[in-house]
Amino acid sequence: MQLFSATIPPDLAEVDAIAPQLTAQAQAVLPEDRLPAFEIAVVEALTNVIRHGGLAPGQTVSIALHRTPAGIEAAITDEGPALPPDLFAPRPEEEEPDPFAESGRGIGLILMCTDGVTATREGGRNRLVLRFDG
Amino acid sequence: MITTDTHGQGICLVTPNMPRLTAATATAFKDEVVQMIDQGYDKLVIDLAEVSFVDSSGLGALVGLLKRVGTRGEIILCQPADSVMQMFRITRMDRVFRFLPDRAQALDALNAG
Repeated sequence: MQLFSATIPPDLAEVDAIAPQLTAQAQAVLPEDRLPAFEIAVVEALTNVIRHGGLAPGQTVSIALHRTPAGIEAAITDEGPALPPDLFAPRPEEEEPDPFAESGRGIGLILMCTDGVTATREGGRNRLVLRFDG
Repeated sequence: MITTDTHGQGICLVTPNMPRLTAATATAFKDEVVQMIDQGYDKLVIDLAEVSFVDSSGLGALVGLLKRVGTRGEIILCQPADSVMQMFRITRMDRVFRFLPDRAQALDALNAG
């Protein structure tokens, strides 16, 4: 069942505007203590697409939330170039970033904060599905 | 974007006037705090009471400030919301930053240091 759907321009301020709405939807499905992880993963994924997704002017990013038997899924689609196939491959523990690194935590956070990540290419669009079990 | 309240001995209380410290706001926040550091305020209390969400860019900005003050200065974070604290715990950055419950205790700690 779809809970929410929106399309935003590739503007980081749009992520801040939409994230509380997404978390409010997730509140009805996920336990309270899972909500920060939900918001972190979704924000990092949207930010990553906008910052690094190679979107051309006029292209957009869409996000939809679906309620599933296990919890909730967030599907993010964009019209940018194909993602590297191993972008969301599990990372060994020793690859944790330097604590004094100022960037490079986004993908690791998405992996840590979700119960599953699926990245596919469909019809010229990237589709990233983040799974959160309740 | 930030409010600053300067004290003696290079101490400055920084209040980020933003509900979210994220990719959209982190660079401007960091730049403003760096200006204070460059003026000699390298002992900082950053009061996170009004910040309800920090993403990896916000965390990166705070790390950048920590590196900027170096060993001659110090940064104490206070009043983080539970949701913000979760970000520090997930990334294990709660072991890198010093937290105190409120700005008065943080200022006392810097004055004593």
